[in-house]
Formats: sequence, structure tokens, C-alpha cells
Amino acid sequence: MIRSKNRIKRDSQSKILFIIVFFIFLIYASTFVFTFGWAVIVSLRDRLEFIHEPFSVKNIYHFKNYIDAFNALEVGETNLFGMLLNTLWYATFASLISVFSSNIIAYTVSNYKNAFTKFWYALTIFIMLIPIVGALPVQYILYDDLGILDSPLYLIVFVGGSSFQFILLHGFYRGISREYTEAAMIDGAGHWQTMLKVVMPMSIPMCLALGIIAFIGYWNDYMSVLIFLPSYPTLATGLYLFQSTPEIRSNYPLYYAAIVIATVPVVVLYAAFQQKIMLNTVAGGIKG
Amino acid sequence: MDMVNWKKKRKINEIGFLISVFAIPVAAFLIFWVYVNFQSILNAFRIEKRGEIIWSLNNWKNFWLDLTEPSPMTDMKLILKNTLIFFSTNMFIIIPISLIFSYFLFKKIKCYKIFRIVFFAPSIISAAVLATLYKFMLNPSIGGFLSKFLSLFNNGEEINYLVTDGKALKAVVAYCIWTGLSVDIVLFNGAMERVPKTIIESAQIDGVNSVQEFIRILFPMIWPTISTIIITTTAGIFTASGPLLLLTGGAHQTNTISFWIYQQVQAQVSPYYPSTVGLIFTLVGVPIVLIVKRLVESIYKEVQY
Repeated sequence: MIRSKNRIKRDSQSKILFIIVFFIFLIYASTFVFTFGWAVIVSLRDRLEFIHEPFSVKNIYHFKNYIDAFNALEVGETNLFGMLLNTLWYATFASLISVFSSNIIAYTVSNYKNAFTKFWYALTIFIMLIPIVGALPVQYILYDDLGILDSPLYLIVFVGGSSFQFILLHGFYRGISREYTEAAMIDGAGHWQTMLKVVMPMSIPMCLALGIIAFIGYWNDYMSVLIFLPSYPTLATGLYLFQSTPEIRSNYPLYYAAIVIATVPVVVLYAAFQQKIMLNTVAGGIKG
Repeated sequence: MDMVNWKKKRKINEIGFLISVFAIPVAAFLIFWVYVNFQSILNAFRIEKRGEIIWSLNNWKNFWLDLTEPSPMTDMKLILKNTLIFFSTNMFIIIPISLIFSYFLFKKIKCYKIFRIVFFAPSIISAAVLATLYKFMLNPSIGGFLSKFLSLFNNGEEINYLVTDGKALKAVVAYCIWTGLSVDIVLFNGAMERVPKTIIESAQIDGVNSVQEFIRILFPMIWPTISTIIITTTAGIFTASGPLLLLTGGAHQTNTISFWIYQQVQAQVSPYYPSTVGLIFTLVGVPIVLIVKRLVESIYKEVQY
């Protein structure tokens, strides 16, 4: 009896709390919706009308802005279309190389237990925890010396994989029975064969999730591209570089069109794979 | 005899396999990590004098001067203070708010599915996009909504926060909170979803209220995730920053350590002093990370489910 009384009291208190939080959530969520809705609206306006009446939402049918953006927006030799291509190769290869390396290393470390693989695991955790602040100056000189600065060869820096991907894939392989490996070996498969044909295919859903996360990250990356690949501006660096070009100051709608162009592909990609990404990447704790 | 040979052969095969797998990662690690950091350490003891590189402690002296005295070149005290402000924002504002938000999403607040998707948006949309939109919204000369709204608190005067000393930093911090909740919410929410439903149900039968449920049950249960985020946030103590390149370019008293180093590299000045500054903050950071790691791992040691 007493318990049920308590319960009613708790419910009414919680209810008020939940209503308040709901409105906070609503306001917070609408800031994003509004910011984007605004960008889409401006991207469809006439440039002169925008200057005279920035807040108006009349006459928003200038779809031609999108075609103009591809032709007119350029930095150096590269126009928006070139930036789209740069973004595509950079994001695709960087994420492929990085996930593939992380996957091979994670598989090997979790399947072959010896002093070296144990050391490698500890090393990865150690590197994640060491708060290195100023590697950039030496990196810049080194990449220049190696001839990978401002060249697609820069992609080579991703061959080490990433700690985040390694940790998640390592956890995944630890959860897989070693019977698969042993059975394949007994049947006479070599180490490479066992890895590439028997065990790794099981990791494809997870690799896809990690690959998409990495792809979105590289798609959006502007700081390292700006400094290490200055001749290959991507959409994200383009958005930064456009700001200092005089054309933008007289034609903001074009700039907003570029913003929408840079955003829509990743949003679509994420929306399509959202469920898969959530399922495969729920992180736990680091042990070690 | 055959068995021994077979085992031997297998072992050799295995070693060959391991070498072929690790050759590239080990080489990459040696070049891109060991060499880079080793050179950074050496750089801290080098200076350039009349085109010649000589060993010197001058970088350390200069750092001390920049930190303790008003310097015309680099206001180290200010950029350290700003860095710590960004770090504290991550640690004491973004993590707690994300935890609370995650809890209400987990409790299936009305429309939680839509909120979850919208809240994740800042993680998939480039900072180059979001920060630029934010910058435009704060710019009164191109019809910024935010600057119009903020003028209500400023006697109706519309100013551009991002180019005003004393206000620019606040505007960047506000941006970081606005967009920074996203990743933490995903991680916390994921951890909460994995807590066995039976534990929460039995607590509800015992009549705990929302606050008790959150503090006494969920909090310890998802502690491994919370502690991981606390540790990684601490590891970023001296690299904490906002998207300064896009918002202020480090001007108007907003510069941070990591962005200052970035600027030095971009300007292609001598690498020695920036390397020294990086090394000093790495050296200060290591014990802090280790202490925090030990502290957070000693809380709720035995949570397993």
C-alpha cells in the first residue's frame, strides 16, 4: 500500500521533470534544425535580395545557385567540383587504408599470443594515453623530407591504423571463438589464408561501421588537409578558404550552397548506416 | 620425429607471418611516432644562430620569460589559461550535461528517437560547416540572428562577439558546448542501453526515484565508459581548443597552445621553440593523466555484468 503511494508521488514529480527536460531538448534540437534550415533557405536566395533583406524568406527558388557554386567557387586552380573529387579520394583511401591496417593488426594481436603482440597491445594503449602536444613541427619537416608533403602519397601516414579502430576490432576478435582459426589451420590453410578468407570476413559489418565513421571524419577534416595537402583542397578546407575570397562577400547565397553541398553526402551516408554504426561501435572501457 | 619437424615448420611459418604482418606497422610506428617524438625532444635543445643549428637551453629560458613576463611575441600565460578553459569546459560542463541528456534519452523521453538523431548531427557535420554558420549568425553585418538576439542583453547594441576582446573567447566556448555534447551523448547512451534491464526493473520495484536511479544504479554501472572518457579528456588537457582557425584565427585573446603551434607550423617559422613548448606541456601532462587514471579506476572497481 505504502509502496504504491510512493510510486504515484514519484511519477508526478518525474513527470514535471520530464516535461521540463523535453522542452530543453526541443530548444537544443531546434538550434541545429534552424541553423541548417537557414543555410538551405539562404542558399536558394538571390544575392542582392539577401544583402538588402537578410531575414526575408520570399523568393527562394534560385536553384541555379547550386550550379553556379560548382563553377564560380574556386581557390587557386581548384573549383568546387575539384574539391569534391579531392574529398572523395582523400576520405576513401584514408579510411580504407586505416581500417584495413587496424583490422590486420587487431586480428593478429588477439589470435597470436606472444611477448611481441602483448607488447604491441600495451604500446597502443600507452600511445592513446600519452598526451603529446607538439609533434606538428617535426611532422611537417619529416613529411617534406620524405616527399609526401602536398602529394597523394601523404596517405601513407595512415598505414599504422588507428588506436580507436584497433581497440574496437581487438575486442571483436577476442569475442570470436578461436575454433575457426584452429579448424582452418588443421584443414591446411596457411596463416594468410586463414586470416583473409576465414576470420576477417566475419569482421566486415564492424569494418563497415568503423570505415564510415573514419570516412566522415576525413571528409570533414580541414586542419591536416590545409597544412599537409595545400594543393589538394577538400570541401571542408574550401569552405574555410572561400571566406577570404572577395567573391563571397558579394554572394553569400553561393557560399551557403557550398555548405549544403559539403554536408548532404555525409548526412545521407550516416542516415543510411545509422543502425549498423550504433550496433557495432558501442565503446566500453579501456583495460591495461 | 615428424611431429617435431611439423611443429618446427609451423613455428617458422608463424614467425614469417607475424613479420610480414607487422613489418609495415612497425616501420610506420618507428618513423611517424618514435622518430617524430625523438626529434621533437632534440629540437627543444636546438636553436638556429646565423644559419647554423646549435645546442642551447634558450628555448626553455624563452618559455619561462613568455610565461612569467609580459611578452610582445607570445602571451604564453594567456594561451595556457585559454587552453585550460577549453579543457575545463570539456571536463566539467560537456561531460556532466551529456550524462544527464543521455539519461533522459535512455528513459525514453517523448520523441527520444528524433532527439537522438538530431543530437548526433554535430558529429557528422564538419566543423568547417557548423563553425562557419555560427560565425555568420554572430555577424551583424550579414543579418546574424544570434547577434540580433544577443543585442537584447546589450542595450540593443549589435556587436560581433567573435571580433571583440573579452567576448570572443566566450563565444568560442559557447560553440564548443553547443556542438560538443554530441559524441559523449552517443557513448553514454550506448553504455546505458547495455545495462541489464532486470537491474533497473528491480530497483524500480524497490521504489527508487529518477535521481536515485541515476546516481546509485546507472552511474556505477556505466562507470567504465565514464572513466574512459574522463581519461581521454584528461589526455587532451593541453591540446584542448575550439575551432579557432574557423572562428577567430586565434585573435582577440582566444589563442590556445595547440592552435599556436599550428600557426607556427603554418607560418613556417623555426620549429625549435614550438617543439619546446609542446615538450614542456607533454611532460606536465603525463603525470596528470597517470594520476587521474589511477583515481578514476579506483572508484567502483568491482562493477561487472
